[in-house]
Order: sequence, then C-alpha cells, then structure tokens
Amino acid sequence: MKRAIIISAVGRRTLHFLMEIGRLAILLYRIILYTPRLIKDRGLIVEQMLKMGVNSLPLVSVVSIFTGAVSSWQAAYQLQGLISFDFLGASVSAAIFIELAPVLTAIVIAGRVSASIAAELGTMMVTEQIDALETLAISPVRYLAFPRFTAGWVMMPILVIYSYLVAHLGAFFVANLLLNIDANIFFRSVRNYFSVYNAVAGLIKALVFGAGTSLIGCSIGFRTRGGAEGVGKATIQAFVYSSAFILISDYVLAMILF
Amino acid sequence: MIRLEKLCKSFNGHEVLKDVSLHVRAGETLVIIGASGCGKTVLLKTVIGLIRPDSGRVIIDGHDLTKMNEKSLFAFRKYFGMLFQGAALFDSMSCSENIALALKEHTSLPGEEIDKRVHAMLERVGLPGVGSKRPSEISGGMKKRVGLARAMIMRPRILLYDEPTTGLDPLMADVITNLINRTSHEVSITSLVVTHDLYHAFRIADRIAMMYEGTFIAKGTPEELFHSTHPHVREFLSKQPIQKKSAGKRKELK
Ligand SMILES: Nc1ncnc2c1ncn2[C@@H]1O[C@H](COP(=O)(O)OP(=O)(O)OP(=O)(O)O)[C@@H](O)[C@H]1O
Ligand SMILES: [Mg+2]
Repeated sequence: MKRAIIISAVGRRTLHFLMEIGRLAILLYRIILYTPRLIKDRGLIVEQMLKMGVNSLPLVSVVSIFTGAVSSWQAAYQLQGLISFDFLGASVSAAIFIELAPVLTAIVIAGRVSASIAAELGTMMVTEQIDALETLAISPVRYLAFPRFTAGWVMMPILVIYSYLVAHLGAFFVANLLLNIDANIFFRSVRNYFSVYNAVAGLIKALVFGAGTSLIGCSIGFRTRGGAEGVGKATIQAFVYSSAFILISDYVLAMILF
Repeated sequence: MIRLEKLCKSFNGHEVLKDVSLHVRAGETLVIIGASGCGKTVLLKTVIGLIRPDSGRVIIDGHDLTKMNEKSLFAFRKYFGMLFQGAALFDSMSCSENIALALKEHTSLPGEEIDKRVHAMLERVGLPGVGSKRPSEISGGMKKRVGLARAMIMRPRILLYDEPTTGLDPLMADVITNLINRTSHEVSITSLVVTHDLYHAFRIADRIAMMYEGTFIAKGTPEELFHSTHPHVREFLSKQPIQKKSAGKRKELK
C-alpha cells in the first residue's frame, strides 16, 4: 500500500518534470523561429541587455571580489607547507575561470534575472496585458520572450568576463596585502598557467546558464495565473528552477567539457 | 460578419458558455447585456481568439477563427480592436506609447505622423495632455479611455468593447457613448459592446442580446427587448431607468 503511494508520487513528479522540459522545449522552439527578427527588434534586445547588465553589475562586483578574495585565502591555507606560494596565482586563477566566476555569477544573476522576468511577465499575464498584446496582433513570444532570451544568453558571458577580472583583482588584493605575495610573482603565475580553453569553457557555461535561466523565467511568467499571489509563486518557482538548472547543467557541462 | 455557432466553454468543469450562437451583421452595433459573471467577457475573448472554445465555431468573414494557426490568427487580429474591462494598459509604457505601439509595430509611418495620430486620438477620447503619463498615474476612467484610444488607433473593422462606460462619470460616459456611436457610423465598424449600463446600451445599440448563465435568452432591437415578456429580461430591465421614448433611438447626447 505504502509502496504504491510512493511509486505514484515518484511517477507524478517524473511526469511533471518531463512536462516542464517539454514546455521549455516548445517555448525555445517558438523563440528560435523569431531569430530573423534579430536586426529589426534590436531596440528591444538592447533595452533588455542594458537592464540585465546594469542592474546586475553591483551584485556581480560584490560576489566576484569576495569570491576571488576567499579563494586566495583558502588556497593559501591548503597549499601551506606543500608547495611554494609562487603557484597560488595559477591555482586560484584556474578555479575562477572554470568554476567560480561562471557558476557564482550565474547563480546570483539567474536568481535575479529569472525571477524578475517571471515577475514581470507574470504580472502582465494576470493583468491581461499579454492578452492585450495579442489583440494588437503582436506575438508575446516575439515581443517579450525573444528579447529577454537573447539578452540572457548574450549578457551572461559578458558579465562573466567582467567577473573574471574582478575576481582576479580580489584574489590579488588578498595575496598581495595579507599574504605578502609580490604582484609580479602572482600575475606571472596566473599568466604562465593561463589556458584559453578554460576561459572559453567558462564562457560556454555562462552562455548555457544565461539561455536556460531566461527561458525558465519566460516560461513560468507566461504560465502565471491567479493574481498577485500567483505572481509571488511564479517568482519563487523561477528562482528555484533556475538554480537547479544551473547546478545540474554545470555538472553535465563539466562532463562534456573537461 | 461575425457568426458564433454553438460555442461551449468550461473552466474546470464549470460551464461558462453553453451553446452560444449569435450573428452580428456587418456595420451593426450589437450590445450584450447580462448579470455579472454570466460569461460576457469570456464570450468577447472567445470572439477574438484569446480563449479557445471547447466546441463550436467563431466565423469572421467566412473564416473559422477556432481552427486557425497562430500566424493567420495574428493576421486576422489586425481587423480587430478590443477594449478590456480593466483597460489592460502596458504599465511599462507611457499612455502615448501604449496607443502608438500597434502603429509602430505594424506600419512604417514616420515618427511625427505617429505622434500626430496619437495626439489626435487622445483628443478624441477627451484626454489631451496625458500622453506622457504612466498608466499608474491616471485614474481608472482615464485608463479606460486610453484603452479605447489604443483599440481604435489602427482603425479596425471590428471593435469589441468590454464595459466602455463603467467607472466613468455620467458626463464622460456620454462623451464615450457618442464616440462609440460616431466611430461606428463614420467608418461603418462592426461593434460588439458588453455593458451593464442600460441607459447607454439603449443609445448605441442596433440590437441588444441578453445573456443569462452562459447563453442568450433574448435578442432583438432595443424596442423589442424593451417590450419583452421574458421574466429575466423584465427583471433586469426594471432595475435601471430607461425612458421608453429613448429606447431604440440613436441620438447624439448633448
Ligand atoms: N480564466 C478563467 N478560469 C476559470 N474561470 C473563469 C476564467 N475566466 C472566467 N471564468 C469564470 O467564468 C464566469 C464568467 O466570467 P466573465 O468574466 O465572462 O463574467 P462577466 O459576464 O464578464 O462578468 P462581469 O460583468 O462581472 O465582468 C465566471 O464565473 C468566472 O469565474
Ligand atoms: Mg466581464
């Protein structure tokens, strides 16, 4: 009896999960069909890019500088007595490029971007603004989802490049001021072990994270029902789903890329 | 022009439209009256394809809207304008941008020409000078009128109004009623108007249809409806003052 309940619960969850994937795939397909509008709708896209970029900068800055600082300090603690601090720069830098900058940036930004897309589109949904758009013969997928999705996957790598720089600065400050590692030694180490592949792999991750989270935000936004309460639920759901998406796809990408 | 055939629609087992059929002739103004919650808004949204009926057909100019794919539906929507019950203005845009949006998206008119038309339209609905305001900064009645301007700006052939005069003061309600009248006569627009406001319903209607619990119980000219013996119709009409002499006369209100 109990087992039957568990099996049916698992079945239901699995079914929900598959339906969610299906819905995302359909929306993605419908968005991609509007790719020829890239030039014509550039105004809408740039508007979203600026919104995402500018609104995200303070958060990315804070997160990146502290991420760099902490990883420098931690690396020093772990390397102590094992190898020379001459390699500190290299080891911190690799971690920043491959994992820290893309994933942490994506998680904080995805939370913001995906939740704010879901809240915005959700509000438009429950106040009939999306219906109104349709009556004006304007496709909500084209007018709302396409620019947000495009801005999402373009902006995330740009933010991650910015995060690369700031995180290295944070790491350097700690190394230089607290651990007394000379600037020359630190940056030579970073440079000697710099791998283009790692940096690009990090950007590919960022692109996938940006695309996935903005897609999730749009999909949940368009499905919002039930007034202000529904918008609140949609916002939280977008945050949870996109965080889960990042962690899972990070794992999958790590398997593929490294 | 618009022919609704046996429309049925349920939400979670609750039957909202029950076998609704209606024929709206080209150029006529048909007013739908009925109690709150009887399905008027659902019906309008079905006509414009925002809600897909469970069964039945919506035929516009011989084309069945319920069978259309998205692309042809969007092409068809250009014939339509719709005023929403809650105005449904885009709150990320100013009032002029709301009105201008369709012109920007569907025409290649130069900016000044768009501005000029938007300005003229704002004047028509009695709101000169609010163009730069956000929807959140204007009153409910003003939102309604901006919504009306937005619905009319593309000069559609079919206009759907969901409670155009609700929430307006009596003078402004008259102005809007006159505007609806004038619009439908000047350019021969087919209009479907949903309203609770019998006073104005009788002034704009060529025909009136009364909805009761998801279906039409009476249809006819204002005169016919006024003399209807159907108990629900009688009861509904008795709740608001309509002068007999005004029934059926489409006079400009002064
Ligand atoms: N999206 C929906 N989901 C579930 N039920 C709905 C939905 N839309 C409308 N309904 C139900 O359909 C019925 C008719 O709603 P509708 O909005 O058409 O009423 P109305 O005649 O326009 O009323 P009013 O004059 O108050 O605007 C109501 O009982 C409402 O609960
Ligand atoms: Mg209604």
